[in-house]
Amino acid sequence: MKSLTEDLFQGTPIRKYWVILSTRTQEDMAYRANYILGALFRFLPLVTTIYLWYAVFYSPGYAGSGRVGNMSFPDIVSYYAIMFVARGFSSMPGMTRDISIDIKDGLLNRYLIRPMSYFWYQTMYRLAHKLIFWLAALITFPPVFYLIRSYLQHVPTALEWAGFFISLLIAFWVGVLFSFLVGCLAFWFLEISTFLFVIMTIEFFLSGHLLPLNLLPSAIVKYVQWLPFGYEGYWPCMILIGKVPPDQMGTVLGICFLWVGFFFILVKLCWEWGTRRYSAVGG
Amino acid sequence: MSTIEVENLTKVYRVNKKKPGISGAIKAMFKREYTEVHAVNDVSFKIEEGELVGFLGPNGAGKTTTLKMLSGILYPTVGTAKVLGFTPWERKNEYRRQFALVMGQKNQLWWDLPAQESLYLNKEIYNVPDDEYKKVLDEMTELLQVKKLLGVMVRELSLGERMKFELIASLLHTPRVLFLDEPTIGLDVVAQKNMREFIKEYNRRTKTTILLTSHYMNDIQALCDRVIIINHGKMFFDGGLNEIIEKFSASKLVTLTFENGVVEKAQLAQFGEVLEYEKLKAVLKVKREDVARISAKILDQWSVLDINIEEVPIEEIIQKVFVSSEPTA
Repeated sequence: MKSLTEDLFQGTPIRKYWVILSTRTQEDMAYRANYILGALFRFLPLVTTIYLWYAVFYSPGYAGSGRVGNMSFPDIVSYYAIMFVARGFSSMPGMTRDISIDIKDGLLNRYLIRPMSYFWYQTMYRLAHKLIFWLAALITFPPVFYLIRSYLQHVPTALEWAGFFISLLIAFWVGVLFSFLVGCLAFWFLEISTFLFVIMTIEFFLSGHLLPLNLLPSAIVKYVQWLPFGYEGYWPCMILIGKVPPDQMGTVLGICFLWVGFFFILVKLCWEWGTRRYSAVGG
Repeated sequence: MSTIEVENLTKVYRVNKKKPGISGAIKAMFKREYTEVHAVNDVSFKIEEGELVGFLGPNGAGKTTTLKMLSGILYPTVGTAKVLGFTPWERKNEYRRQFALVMGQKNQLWWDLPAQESLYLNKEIYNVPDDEYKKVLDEMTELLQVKKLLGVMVRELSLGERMKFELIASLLHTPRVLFLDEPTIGLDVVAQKNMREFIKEYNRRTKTTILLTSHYMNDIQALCDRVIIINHGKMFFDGGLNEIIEKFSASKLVTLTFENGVVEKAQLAQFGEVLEYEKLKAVLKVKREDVARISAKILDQWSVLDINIEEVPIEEIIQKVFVSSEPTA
């Protein structure tokens, strides 16, 4: 008996990408141990982060105001909990490495000779990973959020919910496009493992994953908050915990759409220039 | 318009020339020396529809680089090419749907998927209708005797089995042009024979234009009437296989079996180069134009039980062509 999705998009140009998504999803689920372990322990870093900030706010001898910058402890807990949701959309583990290996080892050939887009192939591949991630997260995240419910004090408005969901979609595209661009560096530098480390470290910091960006010195925040990395985590969190005034929501999201548009153009250019340099080693 | 038209195709690589040792590595960090490698150098040829052409050359000759340019994987440095009217490196989907590339040394199927899934993914990428896919798949898996392996992960297949599936995957969309880069490399004798027979029959039946590179002369002799020889990026020959023999082989081999008596080696040496010598048997290498005259003389002079005249093995001829086409220092 055919499944409901077996003939989805039949006869359309996107059919092949649907099949890629479906196949890769099934492939990921086949690695059961990896899947189960990931599902069970995905939230572990959240626990350690909360304990760290608890120590910052409540360590003996601390005579603070109960706030760090304009963030209270409940704000911080909410921020990091939502950060896990946001990074679940924007982080693309392995994508840059896989692309660089495909370029360096001549494995790109199989994609270049077929009537398909390598960019969309990689996007579907990562979307498959995301589907698997969220399938597991739907089981593990609710209990975690229930446990920290007393700290989730802000009740988002309808606008904030809408802004948050839009920002998650934007976070996915920023993650995919940026990772693809960095992977394309292999067209020019072949061995990019050190580049990857440096760039990913910077991205991790500027996404607000390590530290909310608004806790940085104001002279720095003024500029870094508008970099694309902030949309991978910082801005979705700030929207949902009520730190973005309604009159600024449009500006915040609008700037990100510009970044996504810019990245799309840059991806197309890098691909055109890069494939001209591609040496297709092997064979 | 020919199916494949190549004109003055050239590919030059700029290669980093590092001196050996640690001092060389440190110097290279500050100042790099580059050298230019002409992987393909001013190659021109035309291939008509349905032809099965062999592309011959030693390692590093430029065969695979040429195929990669015709597949659109590489951009040339200079020159033009048209395959089915398309410029390959523009990578238009209409072109990519009409050709296929099989590389014996590079796996193109998805490693982590069962063979059937990998083929199905290929079917969807090329938009092959369901009934056509089923028909082609049934036919080819039966012909290549791999039907029972459809459920096996590609990574778990043997080299020969994987090559068969690579070939099936490349033919699912019934390409008009097929580039085969050493398709029988690493296969056992039986698998090589099966592969050759399949390719020949497929070409005969579908009139697919095939350009095949191989190191195995058995492949070339069994499949190709026309051969292009390339070395150091340059073309040295384009013509029929028989023409190679006539053009590059100045000699023939004459095998003699004597009935009785002792024929001295020195006596035979006056007629040609003695390659093998036993009491009652000898093999001579004789100039092509002297074969008839010398054979007559030998038959007159001694009691010959059997005489066999044949061409010098083609591998030897090709080897000489490769050596003679080496650039002088």
